Amino acid sequence: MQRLLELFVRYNNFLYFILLQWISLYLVFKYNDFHKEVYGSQLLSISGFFQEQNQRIRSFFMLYEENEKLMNENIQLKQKLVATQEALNAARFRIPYSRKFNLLPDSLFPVSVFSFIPARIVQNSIHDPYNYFVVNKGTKHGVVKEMGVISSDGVVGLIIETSENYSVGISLLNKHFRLSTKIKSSNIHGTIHWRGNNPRFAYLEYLPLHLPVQVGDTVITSSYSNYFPEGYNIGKIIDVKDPKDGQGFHEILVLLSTDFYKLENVYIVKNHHQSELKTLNQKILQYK
Amino acid sequence: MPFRLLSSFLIIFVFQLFFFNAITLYDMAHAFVFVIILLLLPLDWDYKLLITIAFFLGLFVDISVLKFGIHSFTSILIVTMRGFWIQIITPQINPNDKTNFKPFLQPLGWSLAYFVPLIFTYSLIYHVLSDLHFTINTFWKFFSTGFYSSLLILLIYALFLKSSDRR
Repeated sequence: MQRLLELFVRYNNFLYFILLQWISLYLVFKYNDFHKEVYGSQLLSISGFFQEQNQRIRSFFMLYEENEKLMNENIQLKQKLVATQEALNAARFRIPYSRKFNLLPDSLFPVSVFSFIPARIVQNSIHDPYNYFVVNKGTKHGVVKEMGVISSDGVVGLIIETSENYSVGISLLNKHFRLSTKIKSSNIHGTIHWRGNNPRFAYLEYLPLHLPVQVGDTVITSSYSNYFPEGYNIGKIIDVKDPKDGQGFHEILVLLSTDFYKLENVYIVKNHHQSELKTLNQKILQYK
Repeated sequence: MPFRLLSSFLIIFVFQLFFFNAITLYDMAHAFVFVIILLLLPLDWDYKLLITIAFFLGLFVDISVLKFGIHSFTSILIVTMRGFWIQIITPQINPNDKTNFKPFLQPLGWSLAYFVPLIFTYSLIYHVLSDLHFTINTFWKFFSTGFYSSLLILLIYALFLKSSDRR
């Protein structure tokens, strides 16, 4: 305190100078309209600049939380979308039936058989012929084998191994991986298969030559697959060629909608009727 | 301070408020004649008293032209700067004892070197603070005001103040 007083005494001239200048500037910016306006707008822009920077820093630190929040929102929307699609499919059959017998469908919006678990890719290979990925969700989070994995862009792969906290998936970029698909515009079914070359392209196989296929058609998941909801994006046809070896199928090149180079956030797809379907499939095998 | 000098300052100040404020040329060149009072206030007076006088002189001019605070801010700065400027242009004087230093007794060349740069500095600070930026228009206002004020101040100084104080 004593030192502070000494400082005040020593620099009293300077402090008095500052005081008078401050009063003058206060008068300038308080009572002159032009200065008040400029000062106001400058202050606003300076304040805006600092607010923006603060917001950016805050957003940066909250990015993880924000991402989780968005992923959860995405899941809810996906579930609603899948439920709506299923309801529409069901309505196609029920409406003529209900008209005929004067009955109303039970509900146009049944609960979806699919639900989603958000996950993050922690390991991913794309340059091998047999690629796999690891996600940060395991049995603790409800992940089991044979669950599909999708990203916001398209199909990623299938879970093949699980531990408590992590799961391994076979990537769509694996020569062993084949998935039942269909062409969106024509409902023609085929199988998507990656042949181990460019990670951006795969082939749509087993489409007979007599069936029309157009460049630009979208390839989506079909209802034959138990692992993915129907109608989920796989890619776009970019080239249709005649078969090389005289086989009776088109040679169709598909640009995959999932960019495996940038893969980060994914959703693990849970089919609530999976075990039921599996049991039925096993029974079918008995008749073969 | 001699009574004649004090009364001269009063007359100059009254003229500033009621006459010189009104004779702005082309809305560019202002006549800031009262700056001579700031420059001729005794050098040996207490600094706080000097800047208080500068503040109130500036404030009165501000009130008369409805530009609150601009003259008072500039006046305080000029009164502060003049001590340093005298030291620069007159290195032989003792910076701690200026009681014997009389600006009136200095030759005309010294008066020019003392007044003109400080008047131009006053004009510069005033116009920059007034416009809050520096454009070519601000430059012309600064230059014309500096020139016009310097001319009037040197005239008043040579005709009335310098001769009256010598006597």
